[in-house]
Amino acid sequence: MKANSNSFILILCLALAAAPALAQEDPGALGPREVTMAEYDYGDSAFLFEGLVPTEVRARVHFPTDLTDGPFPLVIFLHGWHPTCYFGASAFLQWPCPAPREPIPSFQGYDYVARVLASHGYIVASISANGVNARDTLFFDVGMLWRGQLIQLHLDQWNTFHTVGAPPFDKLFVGKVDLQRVGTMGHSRGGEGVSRHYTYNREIGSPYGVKAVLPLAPVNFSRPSVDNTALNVLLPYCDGDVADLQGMHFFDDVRYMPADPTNKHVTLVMGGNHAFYNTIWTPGGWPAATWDDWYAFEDPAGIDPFCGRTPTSHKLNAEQTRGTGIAYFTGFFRLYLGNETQFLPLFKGDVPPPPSAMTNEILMSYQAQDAVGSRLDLNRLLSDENLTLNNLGGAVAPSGLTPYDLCGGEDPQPRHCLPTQPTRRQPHTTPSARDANRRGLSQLRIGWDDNTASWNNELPAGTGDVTMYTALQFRAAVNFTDPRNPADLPQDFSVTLTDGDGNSATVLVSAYSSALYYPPGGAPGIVAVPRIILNTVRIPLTAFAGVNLADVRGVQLKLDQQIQGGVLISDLAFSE
Amino acid sequence: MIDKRRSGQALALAVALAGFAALAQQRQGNVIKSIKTAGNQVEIELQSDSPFIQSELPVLRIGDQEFTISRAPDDGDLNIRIFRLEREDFAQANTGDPVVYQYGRGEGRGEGRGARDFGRLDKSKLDK
Repeated sequence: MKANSNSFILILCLALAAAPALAQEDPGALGPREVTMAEYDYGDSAFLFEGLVPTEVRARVHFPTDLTDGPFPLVIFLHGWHPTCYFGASAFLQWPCPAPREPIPSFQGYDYVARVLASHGYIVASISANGVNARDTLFFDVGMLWRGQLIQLHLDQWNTFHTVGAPPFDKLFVGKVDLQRVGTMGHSRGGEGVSRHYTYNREIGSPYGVKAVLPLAPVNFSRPSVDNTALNVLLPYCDGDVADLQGMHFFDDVRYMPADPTNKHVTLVMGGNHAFYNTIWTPGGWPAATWDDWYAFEDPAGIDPFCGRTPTSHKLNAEQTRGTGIAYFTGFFRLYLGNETQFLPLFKGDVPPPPSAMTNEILMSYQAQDAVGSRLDLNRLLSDENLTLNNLGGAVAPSGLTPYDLCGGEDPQPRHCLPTQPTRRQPHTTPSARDANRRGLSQLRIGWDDNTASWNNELPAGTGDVTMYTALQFRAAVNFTDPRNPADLPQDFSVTLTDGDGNSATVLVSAYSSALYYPPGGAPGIVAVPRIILNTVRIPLTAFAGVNLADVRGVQLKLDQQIQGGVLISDLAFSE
Repeated sequence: MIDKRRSGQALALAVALAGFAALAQQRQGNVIKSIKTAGNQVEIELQSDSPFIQSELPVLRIGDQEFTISRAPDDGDLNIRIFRLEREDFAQANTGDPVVYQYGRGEGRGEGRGARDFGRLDKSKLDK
């Protein structure tokens, strides 16, 4: 695989140039409120999982110093797996830590973003889970119920703070915590932890209103379904720890939950790694157990052209990586807990990343809620039927496409779309450790040998009133195993809308999206990259000038910009 | 840490190293430290020069069987991982079966750098 970083820059710049030039508020800018930091600590064994296994109940809290205009939404952070104890430069995995060993305070590693969020009027509690980490692999679910119950216990504690007060805060938070506006962020195994917490809270009758869940570089061993709540999965492209980006399943699995009234997002951070999101895990952040996971586990010599130490590298440093967290954690919770809808375009991918993100190399996937006026699915591409008939009952026809099939979804589709590639390079279909037979994202696999090829979806008369929607969207990725794609160069094609009177308009994907980048990275011995990740392409319907949007009759992907090529497509829809 | 100014040299060195990665994994002192009966289970203790510190699921492959219940030793040593097998599963394993540690389940997961070769199973070492 050849280096392709420069082509990645090029296509991203083109897409950003086409983005609206409107000034946008930066969700990651420090807010107006003064912030206080405190901790509560009830001891190393305050919670006994299954009545037996000791777990600490400890958290660091950031909150508005002036609480008079509360109640405020509550956001819980849960760190991931990491060694639990240290002495000098040595780290250990046990709990509680026997003297002279001391706990590694992984829960303190997100202060940088908690402070910003609190400055906008949020109470943020980052909880410690060393007790879980020390023994989670003894449990079939790898401690996910344990993590879920630990979060619930903290929420119970916050309910006590809110209702009657308790040490160490006494009455400080009485009446100040909105437990029906709760958000959770979990990192790595904590990412599945917050997801399992979401389902656990639901199983016991939803005593708390979990309105937003953010798994960060998460594992996804058991595929819990995070539906009916806003979801944003943040995936770092250069993750060397959860190196298959299995957290992609969280988004893919809930796209078509019937009547789900909540939006789903993926934030793909090109150049981000796994560990830098936690300052305690970052080299220099603590005396023991720090590393850059990309170099530690995947690429010790740093030779990868995109993620390594090479001149073409796009790898983000620690400050940049955390910038993406500040922007996209804060924006997500402000959007869905604070109802600050001015940030929705950011999470649709309609505007460039804000300055606080410290990089422009971020791509979004977006699935609007299942509601009339929010999303009209034209072709879900879930089964072979969708190769000839779309979800509106219209005919579907390929022209000059080879292959033309579905892959990655339910049997009889082939399990992976890139059969010769390691599963770490195919996050949409990578196997799940505790749900090993479950399939992944169903994708349309197409290729072409001349630039007259096309893929055509008809809309039957009466189904094509899309005036309630603002964009035509689909997800797409360049198939780097298809040799017809020019190596290291972005792909491109056109999209044509046709109405009932035969009027049509055609636009280039590259004018609105950078999703057709050639997947970057790859060097001898590097397994995790390049990766296939389908990102959302959104084309505003206003771009199709002259087409009657009350009577759209056809959507055509014209593979007309390169002589040859091969791409993967999913989720064709009109969307708000 | 590689100085960027010397990245060309580093690249050449790295490419050479990468070619020998699989061989190096075998040479890194991966050993089966013990195989012990523990009630209805058998515990296989692996010791490695490289610590077991990734977030993906630790998996022990013996032949075509996969085992995923594991723990650190009581002293917290990160270079040791102890897998628990049901006795009937251990009974199905054969002396001579390849023993591989990997992250994540399934064939083909042995290709990453986290994967380690622990040689062949010797069932005569049980409780010795």
